Amino acid sequence: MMSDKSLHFSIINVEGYRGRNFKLKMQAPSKQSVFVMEGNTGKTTLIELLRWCFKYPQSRAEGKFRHMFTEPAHVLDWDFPNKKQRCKIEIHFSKNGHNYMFRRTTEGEYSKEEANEGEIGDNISKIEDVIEVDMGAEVYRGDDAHTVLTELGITASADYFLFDGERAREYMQFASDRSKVQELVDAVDKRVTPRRLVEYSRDLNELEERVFQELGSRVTDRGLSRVLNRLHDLGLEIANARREQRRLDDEIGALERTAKQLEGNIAELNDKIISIKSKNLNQITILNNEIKNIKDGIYRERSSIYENFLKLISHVSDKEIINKIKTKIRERGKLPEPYRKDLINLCLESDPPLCHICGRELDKKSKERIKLLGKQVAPHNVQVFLSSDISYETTPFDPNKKYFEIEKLLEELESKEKKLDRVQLSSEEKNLMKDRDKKLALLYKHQEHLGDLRGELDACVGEIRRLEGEEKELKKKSKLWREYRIILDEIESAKNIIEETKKEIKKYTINIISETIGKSVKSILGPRFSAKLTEDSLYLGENEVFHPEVGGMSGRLVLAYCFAEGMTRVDPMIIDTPVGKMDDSQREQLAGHLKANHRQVILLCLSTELDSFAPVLSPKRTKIQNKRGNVTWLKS
Amino acid sequence: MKVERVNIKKEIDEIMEEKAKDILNKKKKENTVLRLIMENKIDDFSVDEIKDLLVKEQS
Repeated sequence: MMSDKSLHFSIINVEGYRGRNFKLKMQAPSKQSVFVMEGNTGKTTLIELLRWCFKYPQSRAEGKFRHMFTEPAHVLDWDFPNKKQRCKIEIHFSKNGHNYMFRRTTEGEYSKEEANEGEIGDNISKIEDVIEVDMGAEVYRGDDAHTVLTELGITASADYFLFDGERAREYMQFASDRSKVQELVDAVDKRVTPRRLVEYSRDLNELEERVFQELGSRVTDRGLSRVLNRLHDLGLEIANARREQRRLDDEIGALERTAKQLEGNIAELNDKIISIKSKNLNQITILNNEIKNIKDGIYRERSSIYENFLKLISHVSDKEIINKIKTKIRERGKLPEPYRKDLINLCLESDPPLCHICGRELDKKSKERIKLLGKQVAPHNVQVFLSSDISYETTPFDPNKKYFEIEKLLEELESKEKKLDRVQLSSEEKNLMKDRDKKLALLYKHQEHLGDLRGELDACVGEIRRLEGEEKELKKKSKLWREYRIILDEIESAKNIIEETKKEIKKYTINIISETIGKSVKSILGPRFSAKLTEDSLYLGENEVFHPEVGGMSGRLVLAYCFAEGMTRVDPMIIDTPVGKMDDSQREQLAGHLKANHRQVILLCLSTELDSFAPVLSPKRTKIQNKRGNVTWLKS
Repeated sequence: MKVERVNIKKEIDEIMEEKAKDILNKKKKENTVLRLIMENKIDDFSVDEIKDLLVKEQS
């Protein structure tokens, strides 16, 4: 049964924002609402408008509207440029037995020229927020309207109960991308801090302020007044420094855990790589031997060509040709005749020296040349070769056959080498190495960041010591401060109790949320699956294995849904583009889960997304059409 | 597969707030200022009254 404590949206009316004009009337409490909105009718704009209204107060709203990946994005209607226009969104809802109407009105001009120059194009002159409670019984304007939304828990939950593809992607990254760890830590931290503790901390700060005001009012001495003021400032500075120290401690702790986990993952990947390598080692050895044998074969074949080159020549020519060449060389005296010492001596020893072959007198130059003849004797084997007829075996030598044999061996070699490459670097191994390298890069990045943070922490601790030293000295000097010390010490002690409680609650609540997400995942995906949330990690689990690699797209999408459900503090879920790559049975399970666990689900979907999902939520569906040109003109 | 009702989301805040209250109820005995804040009485006392109260409790 519907509890009037729960947040329930009844009407959302959009006029003019980004050219969108439509009114969504929700089903009665405890019934789900399905709106069929075809492409480009304003589903994304609606979700983003709601986030904009709920997250940013009037004074900080300008320039904060985001549309998909664009931030800031325009809110005015660009179909009506260069004229003053007014856009309006009204959100009617009930909670805790009261009815509320939140309205945000934006006035301004859209400049096409500025947009064409890369600006967002909005020239906003006014943004006005108002909340009327119970038909105007109470009215809150400006940032006070935002305070009401915050107190109702809507502001803190806007990133979760407004669920679209973009948020799904972000939460899916929480489950697999360790570089997103800080965002996850911050989100979890915000979620698990009880409002009660935040209020008590605020009360303690206010009391401390009162004590210092009291001290200040009782001081007449200027010097003492300065001391007290400084003590007051020091108290704030120390508190800030301690907060920073705690933040750094938390961040360092989270990063250290991430780094440790990454180291574990890297070691695991290295083991897998080694295991694959050793498995392949035997095959690699065999292939290397085969390659060596083929290479030897090629070498042998090529050698045999050189060894049989004469046969190769004989194949192309006749041996007589060779013999004729040899005779010609010998007869033309291109090479010297065999050594004849007596003839040389006769030529040189006669007076005057004469050539005993041609009878001519020898000049000095000729005598020198004859002297050298003794040294220009061809080696014996050349003489033998030139003097004898060429001979060779008559066995036929077919170079074409040899060529094809070598070619075949080369093909075989190429094939074996390719196989060896494949074995040495299989796709599995390649992927593992890629993954390992990616993780290593991330680890180095984290280690670098850790180094920076540790440096910052040291500086912060040093600064706290310095401030505390200064504070101690000043306190010693101030008699009046000593008088009030008892109450300031009590405040400090209360603050410490609050901080310790926060830590304890954090641990406790994370376990509860983790259990909720796990149960939800199990209910949608089946008993094999689960999920786990810690202060710095979100994992899908399969058969009790929790790891970033568990689950495909659909599993992770379900995890994103369940994470958003666990993190929101309000009941409704407003969903755009709901089911991505899920199959029909997963869609049905998810729709059933949402229906069973929320008093209100508002679904914005395309007509093509109706199958297996929307009908489970509600048999009724309302088709929404955007009425263009419904913008309100303002007279200049 | 039957869909289970697993939603304890609404109750998470209640459980968390209750747990915080339990812890602080035990600890407030050690700290008068915290007790006054938790009992929503802190604004009923002036700074001097709180100081006197603390001095009295400690003596």
